Amino acid sequence: MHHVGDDRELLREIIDIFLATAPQMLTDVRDAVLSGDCQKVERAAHALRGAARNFFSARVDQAALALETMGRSRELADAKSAFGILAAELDKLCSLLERMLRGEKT
Amino acid sequence: MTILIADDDRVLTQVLSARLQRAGYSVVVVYDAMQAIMKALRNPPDAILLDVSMPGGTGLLVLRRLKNSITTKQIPIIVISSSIDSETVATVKSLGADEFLAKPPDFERLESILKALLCPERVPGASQSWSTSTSQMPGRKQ
Repeated sequence: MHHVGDDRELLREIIDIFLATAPQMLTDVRDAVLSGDCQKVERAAHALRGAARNFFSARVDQAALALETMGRSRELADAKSAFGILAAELDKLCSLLERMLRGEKT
Repeated sequence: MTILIADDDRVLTQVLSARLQRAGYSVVVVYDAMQAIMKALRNPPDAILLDVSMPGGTGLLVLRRLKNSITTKQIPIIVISSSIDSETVATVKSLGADEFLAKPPDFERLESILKALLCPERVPGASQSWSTSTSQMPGRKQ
C-alpha cells in the first residue's frame, strides 16, 4: 500500500493492469525460450520482472532474474525448467492479487 | 512542472503518474524509446524519468541522444531500472544521468530528488553530486 500512497483505488487499478498484461508477458517469455533466442529471453524476462517488482514479489523477481541472466549469458540449457518455476510463481502472485481484488484476507 | 515518464511498465507508469499528479506535477507518459526522444525534443519537459529497457531502442539510447542535444541536455534525467548491477549504473552515470533509482522507486525518495533537481535552492543541503539509490526486494540479498 505504501507504494501507491495508501490509495486503494490506485492499488486496484494497478492490480487490474498487471492481471491483464501478465499472461501475455509470460507468453512472450515462453515463446522466447522455445525459440532459443537469448536476447528475446533476456528482454521478455526483464519486462516481466520489472512489472512484478511493483508488487514486491521476491519469488517472481528471482525466477525472472534467473531467466534474464540465462539470456544475457547466452546459456539456455536450463531455461525450460526455469520457465516452469517462473510460471508457477507468477500464478501464485496472480492468485494472491485476485484475492486482494475480491477483498479476501491474504 | 512537467515530468515525462518513459517506461513500458504499465503498472509503474500508472503509479508514478497518479502520485506525481497528486503532488502537483503534470505528467506525460510514453512507452517506447523513440516516443521518448520525439516527445522530449518537441516539448521539452522539466524532468524525465527513464527506464533502461524499453521497446524501440534502449533507455541508454534515449539518454545518450537527449544529453547530446542542445534542446534537452539541461533536462534532469532520472534513470529507473530493475537492473542495478554496477555495470549498468556506471554506464548510466557516464552517459550523463542525474540520478539512478532501482525499480520500484520509493516515491518519497523520488519526490525529494525531483525537488532537489528542479528547485535546488529550496532544498537545504541539496548537492549536485550523483548518488545511487537502490530499493531492496524483500528477502533478497543484493
